[in-house]
Parts: sequence; structure tokens; C-alpha cells
Amino acid sequence: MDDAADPPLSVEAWLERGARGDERAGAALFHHFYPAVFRLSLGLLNDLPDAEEVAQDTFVYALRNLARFDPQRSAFRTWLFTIALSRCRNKRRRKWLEQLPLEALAGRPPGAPRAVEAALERRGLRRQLWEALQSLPEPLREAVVVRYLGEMRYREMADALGCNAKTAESRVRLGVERLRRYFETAGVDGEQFLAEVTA
Amino acid sequence: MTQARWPDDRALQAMAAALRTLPVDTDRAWARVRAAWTRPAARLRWPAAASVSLAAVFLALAQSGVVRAFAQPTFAAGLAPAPRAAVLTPSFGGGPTRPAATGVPERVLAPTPAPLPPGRS
Repeated sequence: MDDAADPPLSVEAWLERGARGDERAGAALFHHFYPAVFRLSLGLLNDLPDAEEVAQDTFVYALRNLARFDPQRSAFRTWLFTIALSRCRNKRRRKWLEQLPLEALAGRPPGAPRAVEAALERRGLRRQLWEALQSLPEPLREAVVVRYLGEMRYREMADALGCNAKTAESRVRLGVERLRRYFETAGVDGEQFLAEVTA
Repeated sequence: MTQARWPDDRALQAMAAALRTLPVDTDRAWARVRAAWTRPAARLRWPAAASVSLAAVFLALAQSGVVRAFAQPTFAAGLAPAPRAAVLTPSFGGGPTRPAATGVPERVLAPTPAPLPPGRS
């Protein structure tokens, strides 16, 4: 996590204090992990207000249930991602039912939020990559988002996605393969794009 | 060959790096999360409260033996009608005769001939 300054205490110490209701420990955990949970939610929901709501909801649940977190079973970040993933799935399901008529029938994912577009453009990236990501079927999108936006290893992904590491790896591979096909169909020049991306 | 391999790890990592530059208002978000975290647990909503109340009433009745009495075989037997009385009522079987439902026309028998006078065969 490169979003927060070096912690004066270890995450374990924050967790212990947070479980006893220490607000400063809760704040430290929040500031350390919130940006990653928010990015993951944004990648899955493609909507800034929804991503904020889910990320905040994830923390409210996590902080209230810190005593239930078992460090023997997973890393705290993996636990947070698991909670966020579940909430994102629920959110998408509810939104899908609410917005069923137009976007679902059009068969196209909604465009990237403006803030996301701006962030991608600052890095010389086209928003097409983001939109292609949003067009993936849910299991593949989750795998690609958790892998790249969540920066997780396959074993951690397996815990968060509730599958084994081989399945997580295979979903990422299939997801990237689908992205390639998406761009081949769209006639995007991969070489030029890659040059822009890595410039 | 790059075309076939694209987008590769670098492209996706660059996308993740781009998203890290996205401004995130953690202070505002923390204010909301903190308020929800430190708020006392919400009171039960009415459906949950009603369920709990019903369960409490049922348990109390079970404890006092009222429910058990209803479940007693002797109690149930007392309420149930006697089998014979239920099955063999005076009107049982006394309904109107149903017409034959076979569709076969009713057989008409020839009238019985009158007996011959004595001495005739």
C-alpha cells in the first residue's frame, strides 16, 4: 500500500486496539486501506458514488467486527477485499434490477466516470481499456480487477474470490484473453497503445 | 507479435497505477465511517422485534404447559369425532341413485308371457 505514510504501529497493533474500540487505531486502519478498497470497488462498479458507498460500508462492517477477524486465515487486506467484493456483487445485482431496461438491452457497459477518464488520460491511457474491462463477464472482471487493481497474488485472490488459486489464475488468463479479443475486434493498434501505456 | 499479446501485464499495471492518481477524499469518508462505527447498535426494526416477541410468547406458553396440553394424545383424541359416528351417519349411502354412466342403452326386457291355462302346454 503506497497510499499511506509509514505506519508508526504495525497493522497487527492497530487491529488489536481497533477491536477494543480505539478510534485512533480505527482511523489508522481506515486511512491505510481505504484507497485500495475504494479502487477495487470502483473497478467492479464503474461508478464513483457507488464505489464510495461500498468502500465506506465495508469499513463500517469491518471495524464493527474486528474481533471476528482471524489473522491465521487471511491477511487483513484480503478480508477487507472479501467484504468489499460481496458488497459490490450485491450492489451490482440491485442496480441491474433497477436499470434493467436501457443499458442492459443496449449490451454495452456505461462509460467510465469522468474522474476515472481524467486519471487514465493523465497517464496517457485510453479509456478504452477501462471500458473493455467493464465489458467482461462478472467472474472474469472480478478476477482481473482483484489481480491488477487489488494487486493480489493468486493465493490471496483465491481467498477473496472463494475459489482455488488455479481457478483464480485461469480466470485472469481468460479475462485478459477476452480483453485482447475485444481490442482485435475494435481494430485497436496494440503496439501503439502499449507504447503509450508504458511511456 | 505485440498485437497478439496486448494488453499484457504492463498495460493492466499501468491502468492500476493511473487509478492510484485518482483523488480519494479519505477525510470526508472517514467522518462518515467513524460516525457509523461509533454509533450505538441500531434498535431492532419492527419485523425483527415482532418475531422476537412471538417467539417469547410461544416459549412462555410452552413453559406453562398450555401448548403441551394441546399436543397430548388424550386431548387430541377427545377433540376428534368417533370413527363410526363420522363414517356411518344415517344419511350415509342414502343419496339418489346415480344413472348408469356407461352410455349403454338400457335393456328392455320382453314382458313375461301369461301362464297357460291348465291342460295346455
